[in-house]
Amino acid sequence: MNVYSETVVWSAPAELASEAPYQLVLVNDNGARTMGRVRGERLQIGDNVRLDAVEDGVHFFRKTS
Amino acid sequence: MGVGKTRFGAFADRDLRSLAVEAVAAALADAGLEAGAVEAFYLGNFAGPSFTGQSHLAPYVAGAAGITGVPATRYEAACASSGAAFHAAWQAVAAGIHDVVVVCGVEKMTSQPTARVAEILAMAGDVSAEAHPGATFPAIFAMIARRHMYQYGTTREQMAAVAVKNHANALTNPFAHLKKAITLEQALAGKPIAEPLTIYDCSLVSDGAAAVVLAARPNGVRVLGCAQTSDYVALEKKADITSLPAVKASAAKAYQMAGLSAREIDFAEVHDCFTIAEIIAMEELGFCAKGEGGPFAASLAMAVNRSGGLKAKGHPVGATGVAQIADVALQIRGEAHGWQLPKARVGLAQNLGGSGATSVVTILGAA
Repeated sequence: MNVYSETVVWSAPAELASEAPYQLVLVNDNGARTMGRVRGERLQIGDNVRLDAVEDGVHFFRKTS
Repeated sequence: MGVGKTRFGAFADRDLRSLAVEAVAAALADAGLEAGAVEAFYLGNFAGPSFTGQSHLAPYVAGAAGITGVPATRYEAACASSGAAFHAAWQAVAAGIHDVVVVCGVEKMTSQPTARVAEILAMAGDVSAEAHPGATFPAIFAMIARRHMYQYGTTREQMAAVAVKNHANALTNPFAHLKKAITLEQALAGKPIAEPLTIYDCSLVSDGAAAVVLAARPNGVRVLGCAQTSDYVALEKKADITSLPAVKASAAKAYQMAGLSAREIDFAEVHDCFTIAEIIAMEELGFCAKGEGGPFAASLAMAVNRSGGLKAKGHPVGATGVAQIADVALQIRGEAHGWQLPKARVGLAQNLGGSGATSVVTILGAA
């Protein structure tokens, strides 16, 4: 799994205001893509990631070395 | 074609219906027609029920404009709502079903707080796949921008150049929301919204309405081609997020109908909901090669968004598609007083819904 695109959101929806700025990623996974948030280190396009958790239907990704 | 517009802006004392009625009355007066001549009413509106609490909007507006006893229907296609309404109206006239119709686009956005506006706009995306994990609309276009920068070397400076140009253009458009010249340095140093996009890459939240009268017998301006195409709503379903295949397909159909190539278009009003969207539109409309939208847009080689675009003219989302068509028509008629282009025989309007799930491309020429 790796990062296809990313952004850091500063202007967040009300329910995520306390999390901002947070990073969103679009992750390549065997031909499919998933949008999720990032935990830990900030990511760039091409970085390898793993799925850290799925909470309330939201995918959280984390960098792998 | 008769055209009518309200000024775009933030109008605390105006409601959706009064804005729409003002535009419809102006378009009918411009066409020299009475409300009784109208055979069908098409309303483009994205989220009137969410923004204002009122539904059943097409007959609600039509009745207030004196238009009753005819089909009156609202079209919703996110920010391409009134482009889609125009497409449906044009089909009915072209097919000979109606001789005189009115298409109106309207949105009243500023009565809601900014966070609620963002939530409503996010409904134009795939809510469970995008809004739920935290993607606002700027975030979606920020991801598109990041990937375009990665694949093609597009720069922040090129995006900022689009913002500077559209802000400058709006200064002379009497209908524009924002009259504020900005420098490249200001655009680059704007408040971050979703990296790499700053406040200066994002279009405005506006109130406003626009209307056109379409008649079987052309009067001054003729529709040379009009096409609508769909694509997936969710970004994650798209093979290449730097492309807008629906724009490319609807442009190809509109060019074919018009018997014209991209090279023969004198000027365009394109859907710059974000600066990166104007850059990609250049590529998909065939004004430059894929990947060259950044340098092409920044070169100002073509007259694009002379109105100021969504960036500075304003973006009352449901009004935008018809407003673009009205602006192209005014240019072709030589009536864009104070902002008239020297060469405006054939113009193109490109209206985008969501992150590319609806596209409407319309080509107008002198009748």
